[in-house]
Amino acid sequence: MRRRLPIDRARDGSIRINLDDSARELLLRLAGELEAVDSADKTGDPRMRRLHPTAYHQDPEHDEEFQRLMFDELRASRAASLQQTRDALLSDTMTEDQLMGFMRTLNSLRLILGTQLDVAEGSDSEPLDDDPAAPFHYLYEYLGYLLECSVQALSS
Amino acid sequence: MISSFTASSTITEKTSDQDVALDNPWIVLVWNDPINLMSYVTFVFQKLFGYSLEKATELMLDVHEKGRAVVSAGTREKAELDVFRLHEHGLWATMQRDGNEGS
Repeated sequence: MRRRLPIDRARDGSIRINLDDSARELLLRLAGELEAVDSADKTGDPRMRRLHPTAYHQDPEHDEEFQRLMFDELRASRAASLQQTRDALLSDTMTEDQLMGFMRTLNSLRLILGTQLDVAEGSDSEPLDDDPAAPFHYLYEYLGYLLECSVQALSS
Repeated sequence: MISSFTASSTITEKTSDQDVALDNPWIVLVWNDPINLMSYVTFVFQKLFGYSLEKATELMLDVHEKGRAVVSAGTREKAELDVFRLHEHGLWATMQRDGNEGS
């Protein structure tokens, strides 16, 4: 029997979540961490800067205005995607809208982890086993795999 | 959320600026970054802008190979909204006046 992908589309068109309990628990815990990072006070935290990038890169004055108006809006949008993710993880199927929220959450987690790990272009070599960051590299890759499967499910 | 943004938070332009903007619309750029997946970026371009798979893939490859690509253009209001939607999806997007290249 062919092993199912973690996220796939069934013959009837529904989107299935084929994750076991430990994977769901892991994702829920990560969701909590994303929430903690994004609800912290605005600081020089590079993870926060990656979650709230510059909009006017040539114009600091307008960028400040943009951020003043949009920072909380972006945070609220991310929180809504997180809630969609939490709801979806309680079930074995999800709607396309929930899957979109799930994908945005996976991607936010990758942004946080990738920033933390200082991921660089083309640096997809395997980490050494004694690297204390190795588990985070594997986690980063796993989130990427889930995101790939999600894109595939929506494109099929 | 998005509609409240367009209604309440668009930065007010002076009339003279609006006149310029008609001839000189704003462009939205997406920049290369080592984290976002190519398949995801392509998907987001299709989803947000309604581009075909072919067009979205072409833009994604431009981002990947040339470091950036112009993904949309229009009024300042539209550009701000597009930047916001791209940020919602975790892409590294900025905006500037067309013809204002450099940096």
